[in-house]
Amino acid sequence: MSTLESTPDRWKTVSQQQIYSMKLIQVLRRTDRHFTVRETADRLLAVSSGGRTRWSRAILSNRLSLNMMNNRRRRRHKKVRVSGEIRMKKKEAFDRKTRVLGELVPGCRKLSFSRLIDEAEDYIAALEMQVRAMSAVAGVLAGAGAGSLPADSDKLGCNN
Amino acid sequence: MEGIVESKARSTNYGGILGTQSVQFGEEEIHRVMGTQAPETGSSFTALLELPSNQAVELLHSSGFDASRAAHSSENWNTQSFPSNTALLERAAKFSETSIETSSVPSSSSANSQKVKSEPFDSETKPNISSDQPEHVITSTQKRSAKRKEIEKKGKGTGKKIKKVINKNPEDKEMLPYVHVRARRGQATDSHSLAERARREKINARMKLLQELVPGCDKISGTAMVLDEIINHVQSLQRQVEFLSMRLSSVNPRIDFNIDSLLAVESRSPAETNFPGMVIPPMWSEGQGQLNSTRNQYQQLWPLDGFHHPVWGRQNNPNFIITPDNSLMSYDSSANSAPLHSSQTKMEI
Repeated sequence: MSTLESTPDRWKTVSQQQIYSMKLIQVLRRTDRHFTVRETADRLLAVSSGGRTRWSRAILSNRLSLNMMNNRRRRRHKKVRVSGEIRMKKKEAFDRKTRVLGELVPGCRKLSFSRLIDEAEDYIAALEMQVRAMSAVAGVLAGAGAGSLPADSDKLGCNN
Repeated sequence: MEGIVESKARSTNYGGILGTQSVQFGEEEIHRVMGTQAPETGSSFTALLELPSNQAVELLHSSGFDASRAAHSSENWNTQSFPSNTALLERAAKFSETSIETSSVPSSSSANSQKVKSEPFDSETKPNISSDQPEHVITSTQKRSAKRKEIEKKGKGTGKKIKKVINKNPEDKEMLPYVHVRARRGQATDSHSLAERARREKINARMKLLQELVPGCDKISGTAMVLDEIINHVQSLQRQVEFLSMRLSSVNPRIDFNIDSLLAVESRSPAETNFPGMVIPPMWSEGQGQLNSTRNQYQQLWPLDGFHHPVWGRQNNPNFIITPDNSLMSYDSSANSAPLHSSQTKMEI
C-alpha cells in the first residue's frame, strides 16, 4: 500500500519544504563542509528522499552525477541508420532522448524506460521543492542582511 | 527465446505492480522452467507449452462442454484461430489454478509452473496437461473457473473485450501472480504483442503522470515531444538550483549572524532595525560588509559558533561576547575604519 511518503506528492507539502529549509540553513551554518553549497543542497534533498529512490542513493554515493558528467567523454553513438525507414529514425530519436534524460537524472543511465520515468517523476517533484525552498531561504537571508527581518512565517508559507 | 522470457517476466511484473503479491513466486518459477526446458522452434503456440503437436491437437478436440463453448465463441470472434483458444483458455484456467494450489509439489512443479506462466497468454494457453492433473482439481478452483467463464461469457455477449481483467475472486483472498490481458477485437494475441501491449500501457500511464507534473505538457501529443519537454524542465530546474546555490554561497558568511534574527521570537525596536540601513552602505565598500552588519544588528547576541574560525582564528564565544571590540580589532585585514565605526554605533545604540 503506497502512502504519501512513497509518491512524488510528498514533495508538494508545505511541511516538507519547511523542514528542508530549516535543515538547509542549519547545514549551511557549519564551517566544516566539504562540499559546495550546491552539493550540500542536493545531498540534503537526497537525504530527505529517504533512500527510496535511485537518484537519491546515487547522489549520496559521492556525487556521481552532475560533476562527473561534464568530464566524461561522449561515447560515439552507434550507427543505427541502416535503413531510411521512419520507424528507425523515430526509435533513434527516442533512444537519444531517453539517454539524455537518463544522464540528467542522477544514477539513471542504464535503466529501463518505465523505471526511468518513475525516477524522473520523483526527481522533478523533488527539484521543484528544492527550488522553492532555496529561493525562500535566499530571499530571507538576503532580506535579513539589509536589516529588514520579516518573520519566518514568510518563508514557511511560501509555496509558489 | 529471450523475447519470450522477457515478455513473460514483464507480464508477471505488471501483475505485481497492479497489486498481486506472488510475483516473486511467478518469476522464479518462470526462470527455473526456462532453464530446464528446451522449447520447440515451431510456432509459439506449441513452443511455449512444449507439447508434441499430437497432444496439442488432442486438446483442441476436447470435451463437449468446451466444444459448445467454442461454437458459441466462434460467432463473435473475427479470426479463425480463436474458437479453440477459448476452450483452451478454460482448461488452462482450470489447470493453472490447480497449479497454484499444488505448486509445492516438486514432481509436478515444472508442469505447474508452466501453467502459471502460460496463463497470461490468451491465445496460447493450452494447459500442459499430464494425466495426473485432473484429480487435483479442487472445488475452489472450479468455483474460480466458473467465475472466469462467467466473465468471459459476459465479454463475449457484449462483443467487446475488457482490456485487462485482474481475476479477483471474492471467495478467497489468494492473489494471482499475473495479469489477465484480454485482447481487443482485431488485435493480435500472441504472447509477444500481449506482453508488449501491457508494457506499453504501463509506460503510457507513467507518461501521463509526468505530463501532469511538467507544466505545458498536456497539449503535446507524442512521447518524443513530451520527453523533450521533460528534459527541458529538468535542465531548467537544475540551472535554477545552481543559480540559487550561488546566491546562497555569497550570502553564506552572514548566515550565522542572521540566523538568530530569523529564529528569534523577540521583536526588535524600530530604531535598531533602521540603524543598519544607515550605517551599512559606507561599510560595504570595504568588503567587510558582513562584519559591519553583524555588529550593527547584534550587539546583544553573538551567535558565533565555528564560523569565525577562518576569519578570526580560534576564539571562544565568551570572549567575543564580552569584548566584541577587541576581537574585531584583532582582525587584520582592512579593519582600520571598523573599530571606529563600531565605537560610533555602540555609542549611538
